[in-house]
Amino acid sequence: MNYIIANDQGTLTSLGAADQTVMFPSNMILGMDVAEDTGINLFVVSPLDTNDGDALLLKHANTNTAKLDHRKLIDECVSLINGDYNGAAVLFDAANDVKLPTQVLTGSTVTQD
Amino acid sequence: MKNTYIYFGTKGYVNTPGVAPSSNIAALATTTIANSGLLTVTKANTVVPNTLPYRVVIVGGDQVDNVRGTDYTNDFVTGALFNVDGDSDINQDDKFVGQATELTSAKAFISGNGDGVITIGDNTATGGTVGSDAASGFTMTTADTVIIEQTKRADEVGNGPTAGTTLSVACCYPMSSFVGANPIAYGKTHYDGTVLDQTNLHFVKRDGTSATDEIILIHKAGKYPEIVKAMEAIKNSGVYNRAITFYDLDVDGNETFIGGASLSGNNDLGIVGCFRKA
Repeated sequence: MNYIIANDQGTLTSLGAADQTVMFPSNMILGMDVAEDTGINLFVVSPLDTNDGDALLLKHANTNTAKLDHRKLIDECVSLINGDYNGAAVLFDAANDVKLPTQVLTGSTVTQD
Repeated sequence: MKNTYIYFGTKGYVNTPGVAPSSNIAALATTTIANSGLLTVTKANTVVPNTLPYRVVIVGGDQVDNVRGTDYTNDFVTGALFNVDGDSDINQDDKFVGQATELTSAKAFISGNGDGVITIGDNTATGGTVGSDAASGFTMTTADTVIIEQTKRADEVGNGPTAGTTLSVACCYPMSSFVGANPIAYGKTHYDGTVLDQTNLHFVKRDGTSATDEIILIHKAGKYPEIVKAMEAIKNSGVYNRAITFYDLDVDGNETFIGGASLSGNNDLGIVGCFRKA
């Protein structure tokens, strides 16, 4: 079993509250969809309530020039989720400027219910 | 554990009975994201329909003379001239059963201010509030069928997943969340004469609650067995580095199909509509 980590905080010292960082098993992913014109949601089972879900918003470029970016981002998520790695994989991490190729870190967020 | 993922774009589809005009206009049933995957773009009678992300086609359900605007000269499906003359005139305005007329004239119909209601004007000189006339209008009867078919990914306000967003919904699920395919009575016919069925694909709901997300498929009748075989083939495909597209319609009008159990990439399932139930 692999795990996924996402963090939307730019500095480690700012960590310490809800809706900032989440770690979840890769088999807890519920799905993805178009959240807005410049972003997708990645839904996971909430670690706080297994009858609820958390949403990670992954932003991408403006749709005027990149109307297929949502699909690229979904494929990149699938590839990372199914990747051959041991332990945990980082979906995105604002503190260390880690992101998916098509992702824009600004505005990408972790929201827990 | 690796998991295959399935991807669905949106193709809105409406198949509704014709409406007899009153005061020269006929308002169709409201289209919504919830019931058809498409909110028809606001359209004035100066906008040419081929600029819209959908088309409107009327299929004749009875024979009536002098009801079709003279702008419409050829059958949308067969391409044949509407030259069968039901009476003594020589115009091509006589409607026959099965003839498919695409409303291509700007003044043929309007769509309200984001309300999802298409109003079609008749082919009289007055035209009512739509502003249609003998060239652009179409006088329907309740025996006719009107089909509104999305032709490219919508990029208009009201078509996105939330208020203010514009791009049609697209969604993706792990195949481990697939919980079943449910055949639904549909009983309608496409403009090309294809009898249609509906199948709802259910997935564990994305918000983690106990309900399911439903993907509505409108497709050629009798394709349910091939749909479930295609789902099985996707699950067992061993593709893990991307999502597998079951159906997609892009902003340029290009369609992607999964095909049947062979994953052929062709429209073996005869899909005419695909959208997530809101």
